[in-house]
Amino acid sequence: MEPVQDTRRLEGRRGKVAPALMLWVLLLLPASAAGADARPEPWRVVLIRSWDSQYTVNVIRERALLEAMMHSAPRLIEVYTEEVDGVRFPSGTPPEFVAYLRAKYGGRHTDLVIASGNEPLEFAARHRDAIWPGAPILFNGVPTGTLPASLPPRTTGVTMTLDIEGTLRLGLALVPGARVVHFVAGVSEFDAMYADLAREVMRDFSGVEARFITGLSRSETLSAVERVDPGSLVIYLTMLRDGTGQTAGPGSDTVTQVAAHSAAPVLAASHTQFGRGPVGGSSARFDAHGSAAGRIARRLIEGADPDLIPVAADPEPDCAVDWRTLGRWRLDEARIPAGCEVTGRPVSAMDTYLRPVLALVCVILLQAGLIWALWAQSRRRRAAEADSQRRRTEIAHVARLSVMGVVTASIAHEINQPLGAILSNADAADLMLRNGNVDCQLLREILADIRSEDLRASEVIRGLRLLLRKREMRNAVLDVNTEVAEALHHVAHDAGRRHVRVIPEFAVDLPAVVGDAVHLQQVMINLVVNAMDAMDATPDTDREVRVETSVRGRGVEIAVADRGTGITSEHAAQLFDSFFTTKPEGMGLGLSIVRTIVEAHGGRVWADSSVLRGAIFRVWLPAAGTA
Amino acid sequence: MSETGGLHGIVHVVDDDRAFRTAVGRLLRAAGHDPRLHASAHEYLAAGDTAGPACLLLDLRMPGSTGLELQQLLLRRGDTHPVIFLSAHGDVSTTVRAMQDGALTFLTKPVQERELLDSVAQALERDTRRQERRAHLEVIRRRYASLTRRERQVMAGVVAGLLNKQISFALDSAERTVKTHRSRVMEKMMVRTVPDLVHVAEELLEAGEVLERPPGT
Repeated sequence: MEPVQDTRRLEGRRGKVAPALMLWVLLLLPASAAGADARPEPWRVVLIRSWDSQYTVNVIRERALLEAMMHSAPRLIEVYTEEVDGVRFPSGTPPEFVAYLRAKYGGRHTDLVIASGNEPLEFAARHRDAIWPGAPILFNGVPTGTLPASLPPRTTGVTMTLDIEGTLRLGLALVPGARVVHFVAGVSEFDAMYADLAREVMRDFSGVEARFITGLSRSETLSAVERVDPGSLVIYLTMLRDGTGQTAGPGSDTVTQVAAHSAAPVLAASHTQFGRGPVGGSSARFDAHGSAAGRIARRLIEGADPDLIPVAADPEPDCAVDWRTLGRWRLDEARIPAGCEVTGRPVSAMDTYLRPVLALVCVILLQAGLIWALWAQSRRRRAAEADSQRRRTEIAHVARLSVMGVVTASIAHEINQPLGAILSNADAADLMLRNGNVDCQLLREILADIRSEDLRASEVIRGLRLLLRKREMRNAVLDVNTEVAEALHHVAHDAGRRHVRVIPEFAVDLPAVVGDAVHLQQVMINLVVNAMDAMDATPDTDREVRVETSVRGRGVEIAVADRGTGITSEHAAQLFDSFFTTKPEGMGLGLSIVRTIVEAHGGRVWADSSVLRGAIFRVWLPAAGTA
Repeated sequence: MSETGGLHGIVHVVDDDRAFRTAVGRLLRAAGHDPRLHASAHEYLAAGDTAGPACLLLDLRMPGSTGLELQQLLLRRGDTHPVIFLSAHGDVSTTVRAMQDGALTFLTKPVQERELLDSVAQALERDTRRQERRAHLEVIRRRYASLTRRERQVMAGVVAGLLNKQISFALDSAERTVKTHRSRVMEKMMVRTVPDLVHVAEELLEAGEVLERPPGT
């Protein structure tokens, strides 16, 4: 049996282990099989229950008992259960039952009789020799103080502690002024026995009056507890049968009903009643009780002498309080005695889930950190992209301007140089002819030079055309506001550096224009840079460029206003001419480029100096579809 | 021989563009001048050619040394041949600076024959005058140098308008002796009248000659 069980359990593990295990099992199997022949008789145990075997107390106790008894048993343990139900069959067991059991177990060796409860113990003591001759008796579930004065021979067991006193002390701790304690009990033999135990306890307990609510029906009991003095205590014992003879089955809610109706705090001395309405109480644990009995049972079936095993008692009972009921009777949590277990307290998430919470916090922090890092990274990347974009634009801007400047300057030089040579050569030849001093060799040289210089000039022009062809106009339908905003974005850095505020004032619903975005941006950049240049002498606080877009006629007007020196009338006419500049470092190309581009777009540009201060440059572009 | 007539002389063409240099050289030669071609300012300076009458045709933009820089170097050296600037690309500020520094004229390429030859002729004329004046000054300087100290003192007194008597009193010598010195001065300085002598003295002063102070001052 055992090896097979092990294999099944282990088969679920890794495949690598399984073959080795199989081998091990195969090696063991013959031994097991061989052992089967010489196998000893199984141990036979008869378990006698009292009344309802499904009663919670019985279930808990019995399960623990059997587990402890069978734990790693070298032999099979057969368990036969019988019931002696004094609660539901108060007239006792008929003689036929005993005869039946004699017949049932006759000729079969029984190793142990377990009696769970007072009535089974009584039955076993009376009929053991007839039914299970020679078998020792192990009792459990017998309350301390109800054990018969003399036990039958070969009998031992574990007594159950019903800690009425501890329960009462807990009640008095919670309600210090209580002078009356009401015990609620039924009328079954067990109930009566329990009530007797309480009377016994109360006899030695001075200062607190004991009153018994017993012999009543269930509903009468509930009415009774409703009327008790709120300053008193109620201890619910058991009510397996009420005054009307009605018995309670497993899962009976009598204790819950009593707790719900009682005017005074309800306590209980049974662990299984905790959490079902009562404030709490003091009780041994039934599983511990069962385990203790199970361990003794095992010793007995293995042959220990029961007379040498003293009757054991439960371990110290535990005090327990159901936190949820405190408010019901306005009890002070602070009065709960130290060492009393408090259950049902809505523990804070921190207490219960400290580790998960910490882990979660860590995860969240890590995630936050990660998110932050990613965000920072992306921000850096975006900044870098924006930076490089700006630089590209600046470089492109500067490059285009300087290319234009250099190109225009070098056109003059590059072309005028060969033109000069050609002209002077021609003049020289002409002069020679006029003077009648004709040197044919020299004339041939002159003509050859004229030809080569001519080619040189056309070469320059061809190269220039190539250079200019690199940036052709790419027309598209454009939103002026977008392009102006883009251009302002490009000059923002420069404006900041020069302490110039650039204030856009864009009109909505502008008609679209057709043009080259880059060129239009170039126009705006040149105008804004021009405006900023004009304010070099303006105090920092006054440096302001206003860029306004508006609908004008069948087109769009862009106005760039500065607060600079303005335009003198003598300069007005030349403003847009190439190489006209009033700036020491200027090339005089900015406004000429503006005019070239604007006119290429079918628009106009003009300067408006009819303002009190500074200058306004206005660009008008035709709306798409009108040009 | 030449329609341009007038003066012919040496024209130093300083331009890094061989084709242009050669072409201008041909034109100048056809016009009867003596063009001397230099590819750079350095080449011109190395030639150490100071004969005249001469003028310079300088390209503004040349590798190594620009025309403006060469012009200033020449001014510092005291080489005062007139300079004509030629440029394929000129802007206002360079033109102004060149003119302030004594450039005779400023031409842009391609240059018209008449414009170029007129400018050259003008420059050569100026250089000729400059040369003549320099020669004249050399002569009178030499004459003044031949005077004795007493004769220079008497000359200073005459130029200052003093009477013979005043001069003799100031020099503490006989009036007859002063008269003799005076006639020797007129003779050595090769002038006949007192105003002529005054003019020569002024020319000497203008040329930077240090003259003897009039007696008694």
